[in-house]
Amino acid sequence: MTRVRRLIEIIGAIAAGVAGLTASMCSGLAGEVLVVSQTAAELAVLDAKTDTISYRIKLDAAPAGVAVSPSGHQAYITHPEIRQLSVVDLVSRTVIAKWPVGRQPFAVAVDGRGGVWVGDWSADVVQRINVETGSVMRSIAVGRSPSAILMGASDTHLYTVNRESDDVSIADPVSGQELRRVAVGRGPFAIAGTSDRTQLFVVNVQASTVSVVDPQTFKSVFQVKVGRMPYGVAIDERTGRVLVTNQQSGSVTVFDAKDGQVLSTVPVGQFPEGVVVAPGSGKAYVANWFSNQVSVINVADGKETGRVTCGAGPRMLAVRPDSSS
Amino acid sequence: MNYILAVILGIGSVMGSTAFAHGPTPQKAEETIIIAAPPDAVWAVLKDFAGVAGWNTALKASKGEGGNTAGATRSITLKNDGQLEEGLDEVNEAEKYVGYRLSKENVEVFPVSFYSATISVKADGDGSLVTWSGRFYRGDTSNFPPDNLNDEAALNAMTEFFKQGLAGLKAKLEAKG
Repeated sequence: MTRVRRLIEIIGAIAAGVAGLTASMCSGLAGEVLVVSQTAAELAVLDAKTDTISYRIKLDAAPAGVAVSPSGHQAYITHPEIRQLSVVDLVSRTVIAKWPVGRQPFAVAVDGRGGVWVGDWSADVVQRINVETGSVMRSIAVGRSPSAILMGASDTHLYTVNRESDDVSIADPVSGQELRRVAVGRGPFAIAGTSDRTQLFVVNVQASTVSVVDPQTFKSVFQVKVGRMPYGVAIDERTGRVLVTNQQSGSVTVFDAKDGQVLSTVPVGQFPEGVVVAPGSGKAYVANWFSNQVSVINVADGKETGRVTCGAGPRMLAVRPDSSS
Repeated sequence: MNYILAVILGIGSVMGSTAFAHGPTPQKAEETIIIAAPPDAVWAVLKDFAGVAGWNTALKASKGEGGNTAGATRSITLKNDGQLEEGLDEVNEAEKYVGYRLSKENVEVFPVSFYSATISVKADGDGSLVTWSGRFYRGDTSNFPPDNLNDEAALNAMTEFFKQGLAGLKAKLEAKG
């Protein structure tokens, strides 16, 4: 991509952002779930009130990770196979920038000030990317193949799940230093945390367990046995329940965050991966990779209430916050 | 310098580990077949994890340890004499399915670096419907795989393997009459 084209995209982004702000103030944003379908190369935006897809945006090849800006105006999507980070304007519903990033950009997270962090699967680093210029602002060496990133409360820390070194890195995003490693189970892949970050939940794909980590004591406090090949995890803070997708079992395990007691196992579609809870809705959404559907789960009673068809190969999900609440 | 070292380490990881697969896009395959035999008869054949070469005509031989319980292992020998190691994840008697995964890849004989798969049987009229589905990654999970180890090669290999296997299963069960 030429510099001129980048500049045009940036200008477009600013214009779209201004237009979007006006539009969102008029309509009021509803809580939405972003569904990234890797095979179909599209982003579907699902309305969490009606559980229907509101709109779709075509993406470049093989999109994987997704995160949403604090304002809800932008989404950041990684494409490990083409080494790209796409910036999507959710208001104008267009891709406004495409930045070449690293070697296999996979995980992505956004901090409280809108800083975008990308984990590079084969370079073993997490980098903060300036989404307006595509430049690397900070680079933190972490464990092998960082597959997920979680920001600490108030962004004081940054946690990465390291798929190939079986641990979690705790880093200081300001100094750019890795502070500690906490060993977890075999093949850790995804992470969720309570909002105060006193508990972190890490799924271990190869061990079929969840490690519950206390980031203050740097210890894995207890483990929860779940289904086969757990790939995704989310917490519903209202009920204190943790949901884990079991990719090879085609189910979701629901357990109590306090003691790890398994409350229910919910059958969903084939090969479920990503899971998110739409805050305040009492509903969780699960990407069924093989079935090309998103399952809707009522967290309180652990029942699947519906399935929404989406593009082929949905893996990762993100929540776009409801700005009117 | 560091970059070059990292590249070398990266390549080493691709060659040496089945678990290094998640950066690229996973692929899927699903094949089904109708068999003129009751589900119980099909299931009795399917659930014998180590005895897979008894029905899968894409194989020359198979042997295993640990019976039909989770954690059992088997070694399968392909027609090209290449060997793969597989691990059993679940035999579900109630729902009649077997879940298993590749535990030791050999991309020179089978161009897939990791797969997990499920084979199930359900009643279909007087006969059975057998469904075999798999999720897998190409043989070379770097961003620039050669043609023989790319997504298409993996998809072709898995699809052909499932088709041959199901045809073999059907032939065995229908021959029994």
